Amino acid sequence: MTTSDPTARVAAVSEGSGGSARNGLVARLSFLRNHTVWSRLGGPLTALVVLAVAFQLISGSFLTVANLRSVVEAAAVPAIVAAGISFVLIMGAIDLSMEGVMATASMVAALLVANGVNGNHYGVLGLLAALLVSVGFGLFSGVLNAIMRMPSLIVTLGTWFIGLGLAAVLFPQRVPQIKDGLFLAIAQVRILDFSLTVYIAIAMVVLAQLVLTFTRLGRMIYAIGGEELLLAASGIAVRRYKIAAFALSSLFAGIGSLLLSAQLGSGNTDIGSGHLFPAVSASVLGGTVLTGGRGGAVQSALGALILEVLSNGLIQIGAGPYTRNIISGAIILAAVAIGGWNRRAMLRVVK
Amino acid sequence: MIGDRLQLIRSFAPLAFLILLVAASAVIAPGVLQPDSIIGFISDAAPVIALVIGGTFPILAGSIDLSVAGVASVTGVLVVVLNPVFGPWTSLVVVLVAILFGAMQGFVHTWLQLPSFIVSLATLSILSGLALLLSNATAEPVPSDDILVGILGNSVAGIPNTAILLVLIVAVLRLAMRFTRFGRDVYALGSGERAALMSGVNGFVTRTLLFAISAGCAAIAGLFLISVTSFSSPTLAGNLLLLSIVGVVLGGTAISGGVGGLFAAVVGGLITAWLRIVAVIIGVAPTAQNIIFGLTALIAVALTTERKKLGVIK
Repeated sequence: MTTSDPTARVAAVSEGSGGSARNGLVARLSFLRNHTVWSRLGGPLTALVVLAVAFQLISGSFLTVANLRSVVEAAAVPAIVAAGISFVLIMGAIDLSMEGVMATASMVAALLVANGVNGNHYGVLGLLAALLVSVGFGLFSGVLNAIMRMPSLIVTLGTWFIGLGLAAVLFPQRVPQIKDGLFLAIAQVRILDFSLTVYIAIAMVVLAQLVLTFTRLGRMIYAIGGEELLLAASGIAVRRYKIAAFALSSLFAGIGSLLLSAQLGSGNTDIGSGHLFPAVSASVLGGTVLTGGRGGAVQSALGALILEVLSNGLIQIGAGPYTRNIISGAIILAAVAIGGWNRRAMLRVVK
Repeated sequence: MIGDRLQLIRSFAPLAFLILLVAASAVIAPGVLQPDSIIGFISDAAPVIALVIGGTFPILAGSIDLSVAGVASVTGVLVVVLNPVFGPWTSLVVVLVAILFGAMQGFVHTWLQLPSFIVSLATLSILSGLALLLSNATAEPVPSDDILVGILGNSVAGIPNTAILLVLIVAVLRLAMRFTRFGRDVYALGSGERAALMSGVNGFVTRTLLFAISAGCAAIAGLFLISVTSFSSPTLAGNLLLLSIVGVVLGGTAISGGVGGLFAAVVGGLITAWLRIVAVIIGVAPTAQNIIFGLTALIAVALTTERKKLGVIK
């Protein structure tokens, strides 16, 4: 999937689905030996180490066990949502709806589990319902984009605000405190001094990467980002894959929202606030090209970790907490500009 | 022939919708058409209309500017922060800075060949961070010696000065669109960019100007906002991003470019502002209005997008 030749890419896709099981297995194992995988992860990893060392040299207190632990804890949810939005970004589309999906998921979950406002006590079913609602948002965006043929930018801008509005409508008279032990345990149980949130984040990121690398859906997502016209011309029905990508993105946003709600101990309409830009820039940092076709979940998660190191380090050396958005924005611009530098010369129509 | 008729429906359907909307709300709540409420409506609508006018320009050329709400918020903050430096002329300086910023944004978008939504999404992030950083996340009263904000807060013969400035802006932009090459270049870029570039339309200059206009209008919207509230808060225009785009598409300007214009922008802005009144009349909580605006935006885009022109829809 690293080839830049679209024909080869489509050939690889159809071969992967039609080839014999043995060939498929060999091809899949060769993925592990593929040097480009390591070189792709190498960039973000190097950046991570360089930043950490630099902050240690400046502040003298960055590389402590306690601080590194807090960086990892803080990066958990951003890594999940960054991995989720990668599904859509790799297709060359965009999903702005994250903050709205997170708001609604948080309210739905808080109102369905044992809480301080109403008598509901659905436990795990309540959490599942919240995730189902999240997936519903993604399906809605996906259908509008793939079947109604409306630009994902506008569609997800709409679902973003619909999500915020729904959360506001659901919000009861006072803050719904979560009283469900199991739900709260997600944030409280600690294994080897890390909260369960971190392990869930790692599992979700790995799962996302497995879907992208080893399933037909994953390969179609890369192919759609690479050369969608060619896919359509080959008679491949791309619409269901597009819809699935949006659903996955929203599902990951929903999971992130539940983890944050557990940390907070209540349902919150503002829970997703400030997560969209960092997620996009984390993906870009990890090497996802916003025009599509390249990127990965692990890379995006590494990007989220880099961002967290950056904002933690900047706070340690005295920059205020509000620099976060500024850095995210600057990184998006710089990374996209550098990534697309060599393609400027062609007479391309860029809208 | 049929195309002409469609074109006609497209230009006048939004206007008819606006009239219907106003008529319907006048039947339900007769008070809305009294002079006092109309004047209140105009002050309330002015920021939205200014944002919609600004947002329309990049969309006419097929680009999009997501940073308008960020520009409006930062404008409000800068008017307070820069007051010790520039005194009474601060707001004028800030509008000029915004125009320069917009021009830079347009230039970066064209020169680096980066999609406009990415550039303006990134700058929206930067601007919202800047607004928080510069204001230290607190709302501040607007300095009373600021000339422009002072003028905007007053009215002449009962007409709010914001409305007069808005009419002036529309008139100037309308003349520019009608009688200069720039106006025709914008539509050329929006209808078929490759052909336009081949026939000598200067994409750099046109796009740079478009984004400069967009940011300038957004800054003026920011001034309108602080002249009404007399407070500047870093999240002043936070939820106006969606409203501005809703307004653009409700007026009949197609997100795919080349169709629409100033008239559509003004009508779209009026509809959006009036929808807020309707929401209040029928008792939708302010926080829940986002649902209505989100859905209306989706419906309007579904109706106006020219899918054939977009080719692959991402």
